[in-house]
Amino acid sequence: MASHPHAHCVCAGDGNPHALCLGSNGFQENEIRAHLLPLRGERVEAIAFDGCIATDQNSLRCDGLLVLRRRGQTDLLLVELKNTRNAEHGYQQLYHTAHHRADYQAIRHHEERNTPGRLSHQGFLITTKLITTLERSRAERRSNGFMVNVIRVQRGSSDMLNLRYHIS
Amino acid sequence: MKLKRVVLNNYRGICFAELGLGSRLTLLVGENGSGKSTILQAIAVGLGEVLTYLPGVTGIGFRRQGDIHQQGGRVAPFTRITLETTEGLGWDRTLRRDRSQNTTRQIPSPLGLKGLQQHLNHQILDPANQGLPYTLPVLVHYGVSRALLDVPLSRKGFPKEFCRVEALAGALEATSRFRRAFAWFYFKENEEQRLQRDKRDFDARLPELEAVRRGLKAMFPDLSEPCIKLRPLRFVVKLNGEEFDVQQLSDGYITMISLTLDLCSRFATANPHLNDPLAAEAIVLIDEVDLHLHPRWQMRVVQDLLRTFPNTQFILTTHSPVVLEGVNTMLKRAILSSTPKQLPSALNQIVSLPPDALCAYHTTLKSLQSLLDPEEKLLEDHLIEPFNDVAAIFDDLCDVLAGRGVPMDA
Repeated sequence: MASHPHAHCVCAGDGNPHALCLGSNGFQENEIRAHLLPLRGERVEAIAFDGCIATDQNSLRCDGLLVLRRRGQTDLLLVELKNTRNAEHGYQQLYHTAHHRADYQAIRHHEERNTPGRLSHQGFLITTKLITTLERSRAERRSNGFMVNVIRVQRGSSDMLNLRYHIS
Repeated sequence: MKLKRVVLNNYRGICFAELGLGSRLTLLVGENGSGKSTILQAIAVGLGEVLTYLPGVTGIGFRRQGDIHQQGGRVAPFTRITLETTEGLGWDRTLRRDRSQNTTRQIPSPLGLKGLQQHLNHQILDPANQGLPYTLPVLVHYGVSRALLDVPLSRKGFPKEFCRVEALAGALEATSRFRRAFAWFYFKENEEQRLQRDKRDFDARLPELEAVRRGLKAMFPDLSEPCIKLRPLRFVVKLNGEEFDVQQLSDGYITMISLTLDLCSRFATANPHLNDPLAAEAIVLIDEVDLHLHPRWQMRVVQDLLRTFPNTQFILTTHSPVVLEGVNTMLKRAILSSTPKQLPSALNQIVSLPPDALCAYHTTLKSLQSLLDPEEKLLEDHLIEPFNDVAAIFDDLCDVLAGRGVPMDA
C-alpha cells in the first residue's frame, strides 16, 4: 500500500522484502506456514513485523501482521509462528505487540484514520505444540482478555493453514 | 447413595491413599501401573458389602491372596478399604494377614458394617418387606474386559424372571456382561409382546424397555431400533438406516453398546417404578472410559454419560488427553451458566459440570495430585505432554535437516 508508513515491509513474494514473507498474503518461519486467502471482495496485506518494522533489541514482538479489508470492517491479525519450544511465550509476544509497541500502534492508528468502518484486532498463535485449555485460559487471563486464537499445525505440511477459516 | 471419600490402607500396590470423590465425576489419570484400576477395584470391594447384605445377590470381597500390600518382601499386617457417603455414612472392610495376636495389635479399630447395615435395612429391606416403595441404588463396575462380547449362541440358560435385586447381580465384577444384558432384553421384549397382545395395542410399550431404548438413543443418536432376532440369535440395531448384528460393528461401538445396554438394563431393573429409571442414584466405575474410542468420541463420551444418567456418580480412569479436554469444556460451560449471556445452541447443549461436582487426580502409587486448577477451575492435562514431546523431537529433526541449531545436551 503506497501510502502506508511501513510500505517497505509489505510482503510482495516469498522472502520479499523479508524472509518471513510467504507470497503476498502469508508468513513462514522454520517450515511453519500460514496464509490468509481472501474471499470475494476482500483484500489482504501481509506486513513483516519482526526484523523489518521492529528492529530494536526488545524480543517481545510478533512475527507478522495481516490486514484483512472487507466491507465495513478491517481486521488486524497479529501472527506468531512457534515450534514446540517456548510456545507459551507467543502469548506474551502477541499481547506486548498489541498493547505496548509504538510501531504497531502507529500502524493501527494509520488504519483507523484511513479505512472506513470498524477496526478489530486479534492474535493468532500458530504452533506445532498442543496447548491445553488450561494453558490457554491462564494465558488469556494474563493477557487481560486480549483474544488469541491458538491453532496447531503440522510442520512442513503441504496442507497450508488458511487463517480465513478462523475469522468470523 | 453417593460416595464422598475413600481411604485405602495397604491395598495391593498402594500403601495409603485418601481421596475425595466428586458428586458427579471423579477422574483418575496416570501412567500404566500407577494404581488407577486398583483404586476402582478397591471401591468395588468396599461397595461389595452392600450387595452381600442384600438378599439374592452376592457382592465381591478381597481376593485370597495378593490384596495386602507388600513391600521389601514383607506383607503388611492388614488391608482396609474405608468408604464414606455424602450422607456421612461410613463403613470399612478389613483383611488380616493372619490371625496372630501380633497382627491383631497392629490393626486400628474398624468402623465396621453396622451403620451400613442399618442404613440398608431402613432404606431398602424394611420398605421392601412391608410392600412400601423404595429406591434401589445401582452400583456397577466395568473393567477393560468389557470389550469382549460374550454373545449367547442360544436361549438356553436364560433366566425366566428378573426381580429388582437382579440389577445388582455380578455388577461389581469387572468382567464382560453382555450376555446378561442380552438375556434381559430378550426377556423384556417377550414381556412387551405379551402386553401388546393383552391390550390389543401394537403401540403398547413396556416402560423399563423404553428406558433402555431411550438410554441407547441418548448415547448413540445414529443407532435405532435395537431388538433381538432369532435364527440365528442376535442383537441387531439400525445404523444409518442399515440393519446390523451388533457383532458386525466396530470395537468402539461394541464396547460402548455393551456397556450402555448393561447399565441401562440394570437401571430399569432396579427401579422400574420411577418415571425415569435412568435418573435414579447410582455409582458407576469405568476403567479406561476411552477404550477403543476414536478421539472424536472420546471428546463427548463423558458428557454423554453425564447427560444420559443425570444422578449417577461416575468414577472413571482414562489415558486420554481428549477426555480431559472434553471435561474442561463442561467446566467452562458451568462458568458460562452463571452469566446471562445468550449461547448458540451447540454450546448450550454442552453439559454443565460445576467444579465442586468434580474431583480429578493424577495418580502414582505414592501420591494423588489434584488436577483441578483452583484459579481457572479447569483440569491440568498432563496427558498431552507425551504428544508435545514427540512433536519437539520432530521439530529438532526438521531443524537438523534444515541446518539450523538444535539445543545440545547439557
